[in-house]
Amino acid sequence: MTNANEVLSSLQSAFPGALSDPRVESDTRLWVTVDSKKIRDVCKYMTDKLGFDHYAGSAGVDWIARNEMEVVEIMTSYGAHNVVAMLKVKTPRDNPSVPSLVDMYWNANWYERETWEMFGINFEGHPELYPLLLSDPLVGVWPWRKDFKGYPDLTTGERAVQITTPEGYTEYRFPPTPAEVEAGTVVTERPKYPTFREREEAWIKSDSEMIMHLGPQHAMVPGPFLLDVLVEGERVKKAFLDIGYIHKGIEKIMENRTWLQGITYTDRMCYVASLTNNECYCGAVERLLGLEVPLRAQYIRVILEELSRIQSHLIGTGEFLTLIAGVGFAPWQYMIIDREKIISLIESVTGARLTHSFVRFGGVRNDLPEGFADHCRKVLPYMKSRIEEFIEFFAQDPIYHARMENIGSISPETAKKMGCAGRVLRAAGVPYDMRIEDPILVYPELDFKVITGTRGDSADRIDCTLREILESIHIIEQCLDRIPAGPIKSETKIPKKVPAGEAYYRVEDPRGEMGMYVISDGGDKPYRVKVRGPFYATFQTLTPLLEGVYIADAVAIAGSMDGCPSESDR
Amino acid sequence: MDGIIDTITQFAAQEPAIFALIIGIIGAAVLSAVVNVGAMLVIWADRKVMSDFCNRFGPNRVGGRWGILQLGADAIKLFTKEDVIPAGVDKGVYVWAPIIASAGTMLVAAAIPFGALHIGGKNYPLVVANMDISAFYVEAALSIMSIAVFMAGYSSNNKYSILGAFRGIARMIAYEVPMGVCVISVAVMAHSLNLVEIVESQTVWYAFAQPLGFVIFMIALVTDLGRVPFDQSEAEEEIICGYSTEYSGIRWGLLYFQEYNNFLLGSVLVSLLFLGGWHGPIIPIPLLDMVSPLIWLLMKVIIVIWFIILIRAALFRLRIDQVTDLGWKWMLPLSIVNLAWAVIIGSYFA
Amino acid sequence: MLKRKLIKNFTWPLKTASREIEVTRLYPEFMMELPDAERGIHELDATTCIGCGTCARICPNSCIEMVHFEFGNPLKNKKMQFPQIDYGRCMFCGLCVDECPVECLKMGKKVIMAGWDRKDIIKGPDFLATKRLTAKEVADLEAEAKRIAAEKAAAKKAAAKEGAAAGEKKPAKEGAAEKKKKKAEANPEEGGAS
Repeated sequence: MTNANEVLSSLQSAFPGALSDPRVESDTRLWVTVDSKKIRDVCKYMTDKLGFDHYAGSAGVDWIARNEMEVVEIMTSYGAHNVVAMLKVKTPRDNPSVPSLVDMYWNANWYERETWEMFGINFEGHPELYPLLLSDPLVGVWPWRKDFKGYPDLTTGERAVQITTPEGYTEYRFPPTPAEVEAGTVVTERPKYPTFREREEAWIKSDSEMIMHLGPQHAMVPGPFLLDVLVEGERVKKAFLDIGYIHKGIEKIMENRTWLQGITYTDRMCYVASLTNNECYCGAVERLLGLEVPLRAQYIRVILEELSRIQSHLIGTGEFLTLIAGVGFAPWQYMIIDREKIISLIESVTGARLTHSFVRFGGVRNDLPEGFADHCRKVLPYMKSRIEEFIEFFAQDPIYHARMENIGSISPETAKKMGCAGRVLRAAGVPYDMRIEDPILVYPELDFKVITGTRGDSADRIDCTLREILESIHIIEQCLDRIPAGPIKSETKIPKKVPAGEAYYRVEDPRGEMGMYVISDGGDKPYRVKVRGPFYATFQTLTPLLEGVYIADAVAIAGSMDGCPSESDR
Repeated sequence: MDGIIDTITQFAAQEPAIFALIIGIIGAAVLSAVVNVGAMLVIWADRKVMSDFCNRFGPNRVGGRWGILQLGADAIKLFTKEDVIPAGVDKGVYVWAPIIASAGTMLVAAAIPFGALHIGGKNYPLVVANMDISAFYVEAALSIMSIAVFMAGYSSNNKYSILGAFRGIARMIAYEVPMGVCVISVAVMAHSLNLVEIVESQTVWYAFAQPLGFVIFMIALVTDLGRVPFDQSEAEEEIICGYSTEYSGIRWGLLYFQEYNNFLLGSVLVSLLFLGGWHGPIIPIPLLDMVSPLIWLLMKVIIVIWFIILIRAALFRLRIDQVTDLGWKWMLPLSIVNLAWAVIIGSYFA
Repeated sequence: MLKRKLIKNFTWPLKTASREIEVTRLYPEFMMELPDAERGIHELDATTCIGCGTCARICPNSCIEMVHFEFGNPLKNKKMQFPQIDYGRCMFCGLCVDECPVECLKMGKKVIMAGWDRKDIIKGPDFLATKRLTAKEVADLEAEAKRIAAEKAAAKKAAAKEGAAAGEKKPAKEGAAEKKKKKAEANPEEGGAS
């Protein structure tokens, strides 16, 4: 078993002079700055020799006071050890440029595109540095830089103008006005690279092929994303994916809101599983504050997060069933009816059905109400029997097997290489669960299994989902037995200004490994919050899976990944 | 009263052709009214029965707690929508597709007996056109719907519609053949192609005499109607509305409606061919004994409709290649086996 | 294909059709039962609100504005400022309730609000206050507040007078120190001069 110190000493002996500023925060967290010319060799060494085969993401940070920018690469391991290495690569602010890691890690593609379009950092060697979350005219404004003042007018370059409408509301509009656009006196600049449409249409080779749109406005999608498939007849030849249709800029907004207000924004990233998002953010800030959460609050957090996991899995699976069976299909409506019981349980504690804002720094907002344990103990066995009925239902349905088996199969090596997260990874056979890899709260004391599948196809993913619900029920029952009495909030008063520092905290979201990288500069607002979303990672892997399948299967594969585009776009 | 009947009989004697024409027009109007109102009730039943299976309320506001008039409200809404014909469509084909769908349905309805009146010990079938080859004719007229589906999908100039049209044609052609063979097997056992005589000859229901044919005909019927598990041509989650994506307002209403018209007529057909039609004990109450065959047929039709709605709530949707596989590799050979069985049994019991 | 039967597909909807409808309600005649912790429309206790404006500052959406309201407690709330919440922007996160130092703002179980105009759903303290004082009580408290203020002013004056008396000694002391300073300043001059 390696720990962070051993990793650091191994790196220092292999690359003398390339590393600086090392900080070993704990056995599992290593922060080190790497010279930008050596970052590729360091990463290769870590993958080959030290077992860091998971490239978890990269974050861009704009240090305007020091006149430099930073790209932080997050490297972890798929089970060889628990160390998370955060490698910082500095680059001057005037012409920022960093070597790209795309040829070494397939899934670095989207992270680097996003950092480029938001900060303007060039990644040398990236094959397709096109905008991902932003639309074409907004490339070049670099929105997440610290001196960004608002989106510019596309013709005059001026920033948006504040207008008060006749009803008294403040709106931001940029000239030109609609009248000028109609008159045709406005000239917009063409982007300097091929647009998404042009890149798609370059793949059309014959008259019998056409590009069909499964999104962004489509009955299939759980959130808007653009999935275009190049079809010939009924077969998909290639798929094209574009996200950013629900990009709210939450990471930038959180830089302008105080620490406490930021909790409400983390709710709204993945609104179906908002408690784990809260937990991720609050956990990171608690690391910065050095705060210890009382034991009862830890148990309450675990109970509610597992309940949230159950209801998220139910609606994810149910929604997916409508995609292959039509809206009138009865069993998915049974899932929603069962989910109602869980939501009522959560509502009795937090007060809201969807966006809870429940986890606070150092504890939770409310205590469990009277009779919660009894009510819970009545609901859980009912849920268990229903889930077992669902599993039996799918096992005995031949049409389900004809539609779902061997559709979208992923082998474990491919899954690891493509970097997908959550049940997609586990169904392929890789036992990677954050509750075991990076245990937080009281998970080390609880007994549960990691559910893996064998074939990695859509049927396995649904099977993993349902069995994970059974595991969550088991966890909740253990917690209800062990929960102690005590305070639900930390005794120390939370200061308004969080001491300077940085923290990376990981939780097991229903969709996979979610991590939040929070930087504080000592003020009352975060300096930078980077969210490493699980569905962002899984989404990348969709396009290669769709080649050569039928259109109906494309829907089955995309739906079985149980996506929340709102979380991938933030 | 008597004077009017006298003038009518005189007119009938003098101008037989025009009289037949007028009777035909009146009959067609009554028939289309009855069939379309029946289809509205079928749509209502679809929504209500499905909601029962899904543990929720169906329509429950318009027309009382049962929402009976919901379809009336929907029809009014559709009629009052703006008539939009998209710019790139093939206008002639686009406009004629729903009309041909409705016309095809009415052609089928003309030859189906909707029951019988039991007057004086003899059954008088209620049918507009009592043809000798009505079973065969109904079979052929049901295919007009597939032409209308293709017209709608092809003219729409839309990628989803064209996929829906192709899927519709593939599905309907693949299943018309086994359906036709099953109808022929029934006709072989009944020694006639006339639907009325097929019903009259069912001392033993053909569902028991030809169980394989019954199962195949039910599956083929559900496919022909385009209902789950075979509704790929309008699979909402993949190709939005399929062949009717570009239609709006009452044009779409007509296409949607004809699906349910066909549903009703198909259920009546199944009851006539396989479930003994209007056979059943005569109720001894004076007025009811006249309409008791009607009541029996109605009950059988309702059971068939309820069962097809249950299939919608219960089964997944197949992929189009699995549908055509099923049709050509399984349904067709099995229906020919059924034909052979019908010939053997029919000639044995002749 | 024949090994796996389709029986459960058909029996399960049939079993469900005989059950009573559980979670769908004929809203608005039947409303679901909300738990006590429910975060609905706010309820203000105007007798305890001190008008600090913490709720307005913490609101992530800037929905809360402090406005004047007559039926509050002038003893505690000197400027008579109470929160006015714009429900078009409120997301019912509950931060205002958590941060209130005197716990006068709570969230209740009313969850329905509708209006014809955006102005209709900006609810001021008149709508939100579940506990308020009558005009007479307000007048009484104002008088009390004035009396306390007068007492305080008198106490201050007395303290100032004492301070002045003590301060006479102080100015004498300071005068002596000043004289010494002047001497010291004069000396260098003298020293400089010499």
